[in-house]
Amino acid sequence: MSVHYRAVQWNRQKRIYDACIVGGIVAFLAVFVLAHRALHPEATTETVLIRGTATLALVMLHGILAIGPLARIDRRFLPFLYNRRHLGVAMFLVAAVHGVLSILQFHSLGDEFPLVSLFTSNTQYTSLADFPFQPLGFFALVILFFMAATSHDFWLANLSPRVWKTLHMFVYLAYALVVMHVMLGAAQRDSSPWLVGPLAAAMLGLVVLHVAAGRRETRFDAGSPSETPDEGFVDLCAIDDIPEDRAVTACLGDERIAVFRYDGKISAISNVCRHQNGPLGEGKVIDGCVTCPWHGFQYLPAEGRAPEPFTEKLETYDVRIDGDRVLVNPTPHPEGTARPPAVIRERDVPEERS
Amino acid sequence: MIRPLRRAHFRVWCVLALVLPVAFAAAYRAIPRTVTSPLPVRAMPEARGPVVATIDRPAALYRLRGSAEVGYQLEVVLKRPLRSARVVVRAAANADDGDAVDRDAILGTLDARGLTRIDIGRERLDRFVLSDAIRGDIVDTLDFGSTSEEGSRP
Repeated sequence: MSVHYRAVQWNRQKRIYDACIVGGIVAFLAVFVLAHRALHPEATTETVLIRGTATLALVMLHGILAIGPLARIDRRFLPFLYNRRHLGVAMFLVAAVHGVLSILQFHSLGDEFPLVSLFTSNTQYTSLADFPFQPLGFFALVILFFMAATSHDFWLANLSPRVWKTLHMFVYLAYALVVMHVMLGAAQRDSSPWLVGPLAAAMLGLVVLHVAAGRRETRFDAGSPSETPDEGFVDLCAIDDIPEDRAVTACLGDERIAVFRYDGKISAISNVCRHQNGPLGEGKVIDGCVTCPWHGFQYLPAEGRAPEPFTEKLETYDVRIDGDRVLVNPTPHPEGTARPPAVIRERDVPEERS
Repeated sequence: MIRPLRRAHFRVWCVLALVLPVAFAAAYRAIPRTVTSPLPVRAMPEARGPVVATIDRPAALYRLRGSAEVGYQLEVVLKRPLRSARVVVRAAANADDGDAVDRDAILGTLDARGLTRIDIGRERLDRFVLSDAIRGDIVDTLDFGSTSEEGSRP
């Protein structure tokens, strides 16, 4: 990181990412409209747009929700994570077009105010087949609005990453509402396997992905070293288990620790990036700084803080080398406490590997 | 992500893994299915006794069947499909019946085509009015009691 690094600004990668989002949206809608016109020439333009934006928002929501666990399971998906918030905002805008057009088409010509009509035109809450599905979509859209509105780093910084992440977990509630909005709405009127089949497959795929990624993380946390501490230190791994400029992570105590090897030294810091709680241990050391794999936030590994002029700080941990083993004391030092790295001497590294 | 949030994510998805498929399946089961079985056929009474009078029209054949013992029956065989959405059959009073016959009572309706039998009870009725229940037009009038056994057109 240099003083020219700007945490929240446009860069080439973001522009490419956003261009792909816009291009994808336009291409999807164009193909959908043309195909719909060919298959259902009787449909009005409003109907085609309502269906097109609904389908697109549903596809985008599944993609957004799949990125997280995919990136946990396979690092090749990390680039998709980089600008996921822009994808989320774009998805909200598409869903909002669907919502506004639907309210205009179905609720704007009556005596009631359209938003009142949305909730009063159908009150058959005891019937599944005739359930008022539109309020489900409305509430999902409200959740997505708040998520899009608070997606900027301004809110992330003011709410704190933990609160912000907790708030954004409401997307799962929105997802459940959207699935039922489709199943109790469009699916009740069009039981085509082309609607229900892909939705069922996508939903099950998403559930399996998240549960699998969650189990993987839980097992990792449970399987981390817990041997009897040696003067407070825990035998973490061999020196050679840590690739150069990379880290080994382990759950010691309540949180994960990332132990980095760089320039013949080893330092241990908290694995949790202060930006969005990204996994620092999956990043690498660039220009002497640990770089978060999610959004590129950087930290000096021996000092537990971002280089000037940035102010983010991390807990640091004491590290010791015993033979070819790396020992870590799981008791954290306060954020930004500089701790001397353990220096790797020639005799610490087995000869056949050195 | 910090450990509490990792746990929260995992728990939320464990709950969703149970709830979403159940809700999905319930909604799927509630989807109205296309009726593939034959539409229910209106129960047709068996023919009662011999034909006692007949009126033959180009579009339909009307028969009065039965006796005082087994009851009387109006039998209609449509030769051409009806041109009215709903045709109802009412009794029309005989000349000497006075108000004994309820003219407003609907004895039955005719199917669009084919055979229809309408039970009319043990008392013989000879005069019937067939009318379009929607438009109110009289479609045909029948008089089985006339000497010629021919009905009269309106």
